[in-house]
Amino acid sequence: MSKFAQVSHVVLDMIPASIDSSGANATNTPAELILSASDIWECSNLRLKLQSDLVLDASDTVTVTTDIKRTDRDGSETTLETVTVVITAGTRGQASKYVDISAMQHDDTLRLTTTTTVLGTANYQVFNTLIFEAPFQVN
Amino acid sequence: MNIVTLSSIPFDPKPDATTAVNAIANDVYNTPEELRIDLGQITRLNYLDAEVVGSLIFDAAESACVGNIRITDGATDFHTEPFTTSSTTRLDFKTSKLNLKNVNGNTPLYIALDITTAATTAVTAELFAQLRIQSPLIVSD
Repeated sequence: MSKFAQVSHVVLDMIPASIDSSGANATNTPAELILSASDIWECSNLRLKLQSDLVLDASDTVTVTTDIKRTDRDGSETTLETVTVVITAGTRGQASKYVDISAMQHDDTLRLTTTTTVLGTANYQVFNTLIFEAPFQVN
Repeated sequence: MNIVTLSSIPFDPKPDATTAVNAIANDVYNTPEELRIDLGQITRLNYLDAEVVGSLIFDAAESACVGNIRITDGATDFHTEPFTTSSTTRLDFKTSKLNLKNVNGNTPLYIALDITTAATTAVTAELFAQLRIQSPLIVSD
């Protein structure tokens, strides 16, 4: 029996746009940075976790949600999971969730959208990381 | 059994923000030597599915700037991605699939920024980029 495992961290957008205090410019993954890693969806036992790191430029109280969205080959989009980060009188907060990717198929893509649900006065950035966990056992 | 790994490797997590793009020149920015990507044993795989994605961030909306982003080992350019911007502070890009078949595992890859038409104002740019590689393997009974 052989065991094999791989953990990969994938950042779709290395330099996410700053969201200002109006919350009006909530960010979406730029089209060029959408993940179209077609082969990995055919992998058995793969798990995916979305990790959000919210960074404020001043102490504040804000709530930001990040949706991870699947787009299929027909262009139909589905929200797979939502991660919510709440900061109360602070400058930084994190949250993470596992994402059900069992329905992903070969030509599907993933993108992220960020929305502010509780506004503050600070400017902030959301750094999102996709963590792929791939354990395997060959008997 | 299908086994696939997806790797996302940044070239430079904190690129030089003082790179001027208002003069025509090659190699106005290169990945620092210590941060270049050595593919090592990965190059032994028969199948590699690789692309480079990234963002060019300007410190102000530039008037117009044209150039190339190259993925190179210093001797061979494995891909050249042309770009043209106009009055924007951000340009995102994704290359077509790269042919890394002839990359030497001991020769680090890096990105280079060339300017072929200079911005008419004194703006600077940061080049963020990462290499995404899928490595599929099928184990048959």
